[in-house]
Amino acid sequence: MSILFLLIPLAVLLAGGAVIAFVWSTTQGQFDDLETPALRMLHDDDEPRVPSPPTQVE
Amino acid sequence: MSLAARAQTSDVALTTLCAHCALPVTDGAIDTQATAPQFCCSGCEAVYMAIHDHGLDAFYQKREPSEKLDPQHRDRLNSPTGYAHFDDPAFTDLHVRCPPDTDGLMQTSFYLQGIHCAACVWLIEKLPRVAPGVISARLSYTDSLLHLSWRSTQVQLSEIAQTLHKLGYVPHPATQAGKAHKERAGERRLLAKIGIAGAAFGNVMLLSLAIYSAESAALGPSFSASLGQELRTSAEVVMGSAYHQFFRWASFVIAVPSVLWTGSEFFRGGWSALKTRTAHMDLPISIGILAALIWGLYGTLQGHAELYFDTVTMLVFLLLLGRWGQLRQSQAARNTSELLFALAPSTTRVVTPDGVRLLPTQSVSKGSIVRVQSGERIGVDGRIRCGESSVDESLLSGESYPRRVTMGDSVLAGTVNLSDQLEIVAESTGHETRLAALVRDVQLAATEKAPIAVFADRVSGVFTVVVLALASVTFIACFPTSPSTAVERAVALLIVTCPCALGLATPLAAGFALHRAAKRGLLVKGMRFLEQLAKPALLVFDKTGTLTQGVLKVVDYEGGTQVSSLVRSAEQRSAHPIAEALRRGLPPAPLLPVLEFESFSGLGVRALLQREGTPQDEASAPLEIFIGSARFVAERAQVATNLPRASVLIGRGLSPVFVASEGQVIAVLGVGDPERPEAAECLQKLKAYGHQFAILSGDRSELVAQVAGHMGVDWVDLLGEQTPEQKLEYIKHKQATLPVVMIGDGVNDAAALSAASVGIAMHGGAEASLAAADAFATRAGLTPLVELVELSRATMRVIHRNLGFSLFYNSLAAGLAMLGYVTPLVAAILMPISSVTVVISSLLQRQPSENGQDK
Repeated sequence: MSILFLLIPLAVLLAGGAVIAFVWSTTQGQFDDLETPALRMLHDDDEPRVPSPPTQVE
Repeated sequence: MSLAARAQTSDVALTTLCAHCALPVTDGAIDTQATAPQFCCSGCEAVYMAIHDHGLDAFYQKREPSEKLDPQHRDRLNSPTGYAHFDDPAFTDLHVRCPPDTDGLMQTSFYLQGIHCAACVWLIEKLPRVAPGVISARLSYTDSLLHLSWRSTQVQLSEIAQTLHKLGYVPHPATQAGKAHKERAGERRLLAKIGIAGAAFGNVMLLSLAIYSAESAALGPSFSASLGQELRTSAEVVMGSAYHQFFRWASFVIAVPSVLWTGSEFFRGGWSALKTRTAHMDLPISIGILAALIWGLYGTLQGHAELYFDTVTMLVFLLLLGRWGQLRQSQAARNTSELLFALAPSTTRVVTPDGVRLLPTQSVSKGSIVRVQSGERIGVDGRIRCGESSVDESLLSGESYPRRVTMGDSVLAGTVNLSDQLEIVAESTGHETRLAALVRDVQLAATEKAPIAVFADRVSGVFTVVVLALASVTFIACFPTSPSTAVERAVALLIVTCPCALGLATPLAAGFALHRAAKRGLLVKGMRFLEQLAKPALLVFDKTGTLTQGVLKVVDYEGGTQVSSLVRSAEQRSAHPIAEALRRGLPPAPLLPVLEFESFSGLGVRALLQREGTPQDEASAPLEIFIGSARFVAERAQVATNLPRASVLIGRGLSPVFVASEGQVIAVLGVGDPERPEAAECLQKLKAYGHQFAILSGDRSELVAQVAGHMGVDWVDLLGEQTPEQKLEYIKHKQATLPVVMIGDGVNDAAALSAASVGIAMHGGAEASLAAADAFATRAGLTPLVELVELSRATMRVIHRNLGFSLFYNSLAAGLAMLGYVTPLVAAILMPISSVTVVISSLLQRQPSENGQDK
């Protein structure tokens, strides 16, 4: 059972990592708009899989 | 026979839909090439062509087939000019960000007008393909905000704006971007706090579970109510003292920092409530949290006392969730008001001694002379110094007709100068303008607390005092026997009565209700209005568009295709609503060439038609035809119009339209605004809820009485021929005695709508009515109104239930704590039960759709 003395701090550290990841993604604005990305994902499908060469105006 | 039915069927068969906005195309506008796409107006055609030229036709496949776009009728949409100032340094300073080391990369945000469906997201985000030089275009669908980045070396912002305009979306610089950014940062911080509080809650609960299991194992099968000191010692025996201490310290390490940081929301609120001596929910919450933390600190150091870390982390987590819901709830209204702000131009031309300079509107000072060109928005409130023009004030007043203005007249910021250049002396600028006041009103309405929420706050004030008193009583009562028990019980009382459920009760129910309403196309600006709608009130209808359909139709028609042919031919050039009704409602017939056409405003038309079957060059006399009111036709065509049929039509509440030709009346048509079929039933339902009714209408009094008679309810007042001022006066007068709910179609009623306790705009012009009205239905008809009333009644029931539940739980908890039955385990069970009860009770709100008739 003494392994608990190691495992619990380890678990707390892991949880801390997850919390830091969450706080980071929040400050990056990943949760600002929960609707548009869902729509955007549906739209990209009909584009050609292989991109055509860019039609740059000279 | 009923022509209405026939007209309906022929409508469907004949209607050509506009290729862009999918609205019916009027006969006159139909292009003869049958295969080509048809357009209702040149605006739609221009947008369609722009989309087509860029190879983005897939837009029309992506949007919902039933989706009706805003027709691009407005003239300003046809001329995508007036974006030159977007390239001005003054504009750049205000709105454009240039991140360093990015080689001319610029960023800005626009509010786009006209975003309505998922296909718009697709179209807008194809912008980099359409306009070379645009690096990325990201649209946030919910708030119509476009984040744009482009290379200034390749493309100018004005060109991008023009492209957007051509695609049918009017870009407005996001003037509030800075403030919105700050608000967004606040929201993100709250979300981060929720994440931290949630993680702390979960982990502490796991650790506590171990401690609780040890306790119950120590007790064995004889788990009884004898919880207390002996229990804890035996738990230590089962677990081993070292482990026991270790788990407590682990809880301490997780809980204390996270609660101190995440709970700062409540500490701040509680502190300011204390300083200003006002009642606020945050105060008792802070007391509970702090009591638990301080006791936990003592307990951990001392090594034996009870710990409430699991309860307190959970409390903070749930309360933060409630707060976040509250924040989200007012977002829709806030976005709308931001769009209003965007409607004031960001730059303004100021006449100075050394010529005309383009300045940011905020920095225009009072007394400066401002020049506004045709088609531009006015940036200041002021008086016209020279020039004559007409202005579109629909945004501010809801008035759909432009107003003529000349020297000396005052004009308001946010209105559009339609025809000629104006020079204006600025009288108030920036935040002093009427527009700014309007925006503040909208924002205030969204943030203002509903009376029920104020009540909850007041209860919490009483609550704080009672809890503190009870805690003192417990402490004093137990102190003589055992000082440590006295402290423990008092602390347990403070923690366990923390009004978590009370704090969740109102915002949660209100949030769910507003969300549910919005999903059904009912936008309500705040909970305050829902609360008002749940109480009996005087419902004042503006007849047109609410009780009736708001569209003129030919209801009664006699005469065959011949009359139809004459009338349709004569009216094809008129834009009058009656002419439109005639064109739509009469059976299809071949059109005759029109030789001459004259329209007498408000009276009727005269037309010279070429007779049927005669070639143009033949010298047969053309046919003269008069269509119009009785007086007009009697005077101009010299015929008698006192026919019995006319009085029958008037008796039925219809307007008779006379058709006269060659000295005789050849037909009398009954044109009217038909009642909504569901109106009577809806009013019956509302009557059952205790509402009273009145009609205020601009229409003739007989018509009002006619419509009112068919509804089968009693009316307090039936007033016809009312001007907007009279309507306002009536509302103010009535409001002295009972709450008044004004229901209008959103146009021309703006003043009355905003004066009423609750103003509801039924399917009117969105921008104008949202500014003035408190609730707005995106669906036509009276059913949304009934739904709204039912929803508000259901919501108020839920709120009352929630308040009852939470007070009951808190009293129960207080009683148990005083008697010493509350241990951390009991608290950990009791607290979530009360919160969960409130959440479930809010979720189980009866949906009005279950008995209401949905479309």
